[in-house]
Amino acid sequence: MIIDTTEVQDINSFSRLESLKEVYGIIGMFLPILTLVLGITIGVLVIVWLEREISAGIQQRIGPEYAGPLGILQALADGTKLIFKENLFPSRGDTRLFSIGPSIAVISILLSYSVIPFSYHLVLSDLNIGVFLWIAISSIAPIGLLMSGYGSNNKYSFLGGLRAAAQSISYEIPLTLCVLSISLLSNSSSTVDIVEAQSKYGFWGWNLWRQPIGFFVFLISSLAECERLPFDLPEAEEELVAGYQTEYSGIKFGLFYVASYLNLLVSSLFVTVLYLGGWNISIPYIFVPELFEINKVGRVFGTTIGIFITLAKTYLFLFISITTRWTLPRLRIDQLLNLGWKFLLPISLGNLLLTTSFQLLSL
Amino acid sequence: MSNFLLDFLSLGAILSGILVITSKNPVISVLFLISVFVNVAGYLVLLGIGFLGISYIIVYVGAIAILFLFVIMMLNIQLAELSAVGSEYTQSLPLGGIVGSLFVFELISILPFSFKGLSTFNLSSVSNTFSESSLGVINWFNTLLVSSIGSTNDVHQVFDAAHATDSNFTNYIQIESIGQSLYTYGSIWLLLTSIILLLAIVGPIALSMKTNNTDHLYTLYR
Repeated sequence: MIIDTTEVQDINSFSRLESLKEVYGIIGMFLPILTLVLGITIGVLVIVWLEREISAGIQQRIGPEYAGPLGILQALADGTKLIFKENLFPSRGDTRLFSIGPSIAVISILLSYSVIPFSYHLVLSDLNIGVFLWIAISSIAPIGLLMSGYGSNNKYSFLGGLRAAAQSISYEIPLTLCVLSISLLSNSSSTVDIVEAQSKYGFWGWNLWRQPIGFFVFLISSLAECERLPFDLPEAEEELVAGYQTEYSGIKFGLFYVASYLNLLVSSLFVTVLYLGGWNISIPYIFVPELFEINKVGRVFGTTIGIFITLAKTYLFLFISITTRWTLPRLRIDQLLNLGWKFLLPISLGNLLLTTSFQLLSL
Repeated sequence: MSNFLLDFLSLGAILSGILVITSKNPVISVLFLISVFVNVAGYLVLLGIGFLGISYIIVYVGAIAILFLFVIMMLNIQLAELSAVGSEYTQSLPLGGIVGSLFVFELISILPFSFKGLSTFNLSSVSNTFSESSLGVINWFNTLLVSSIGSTNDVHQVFDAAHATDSNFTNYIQIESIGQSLYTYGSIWLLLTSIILLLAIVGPIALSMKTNNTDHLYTLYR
């Protein structure tokens, strides 16, 4: 077989350049994901510290002060302690279900971060059906809870797992209906479109003013989905020892601990994206995007400002939920389920009907 | 790349389906059922109908599979009672064969075999009559509601992929196009499904309502 020199050169260039481009393509795919995961991890550390400090302030005591300056590394100290603890398995429990349970809870929450826009072009995947991905993936979390409660070979853990799953699925429906109303308002289910629909009038363009009932229902439902007080029954210390988390120790308990804070962070980010206007500087009559589009430095600066604004708005909701945790008493399981099915569900259905009729009237 | 993944997803769905029926532990069966649902949802997303795939996860995994898990976990199933050996196993095979062949016969007679035209390939005149009569009944209900569809073969068009009015829907995003076609051409299916769902809601409430009175019939019609 005779090969021409041009062909040999082509083949050489193909193998060198194209394979390099492929490698760069694959690395370029992983780099945003790694950045996001790094950001989330730092966010969880910050939230743990925030919770300790805010709860200390509410209870009029000093918070963490030994692990690092002002106790900043407290979360790292907790994590290190949990890694070094022994991983116990219940003797006749289902080992595979026991191990997979916490992983499913964490995986489902981490996947929801891919649709949150942190700033103008900073979203991991701008899907057409972005918010529904969050709803769908948060429906998978109760399966992890059921598996961990069942695999513990402990009647009380099992009951705790059943209660946690019942709570999760009950509050999923008002959450979905609120998100549906928001999609109606912005004519799209993509998170980027929802934020951009709120960008016109600054402060007054927030979905918060157009959907006050929905905001109220969304706040309560997302607190219940995260299993934070006052919906804390699956982890109640007096009633069920620690619910479905009783038999867990070591890093598996650490996974549940982290999952709770991850869920809180993703709920807060969704509140800012859906109701509080996302990355927009919400002072009316300042047309900031035009100011920042001048050159490359301006764009980078504008994007960074967007990230800071998103985080500042997220902090507001985080502060509200942490304060709520340390202020309100816990609800019983029947009060909890009554609140979900008999109060929030009719209200969110009515909110959806109201939103739909207002959309029809304005056409 | 997506063709490659499509094969894996369908293989995963079939494998999980086989493992559902052959697992000894019922909890593991339900978990493999969840795996079937997730594989099929991924398949639908790769085909391009993302909304349907995501709604599979919301409805099937998030509601139905959790319901199954609740029931299976709360029943005290002794694994020793479940495994059948010897004559206990072979005596249930003829009934299984009869039910399975009935199911296959129904599938072959209802589903249209050709999706391009309106001709269907049917095995015998009996199955032909069955499919035509059932489609005729559904068509009659449909013509009551949507007067623009009037001919007898129009319900096939609901299954048919190459329909003339489908070209109107290329301007819409997925959810809009599903809504447009479901609420006009598919209105009969929507109403039938809503009646079934209403029955599913009212039925368990009526069955499990606690009555202090011993006269059950009286309290139901109070």
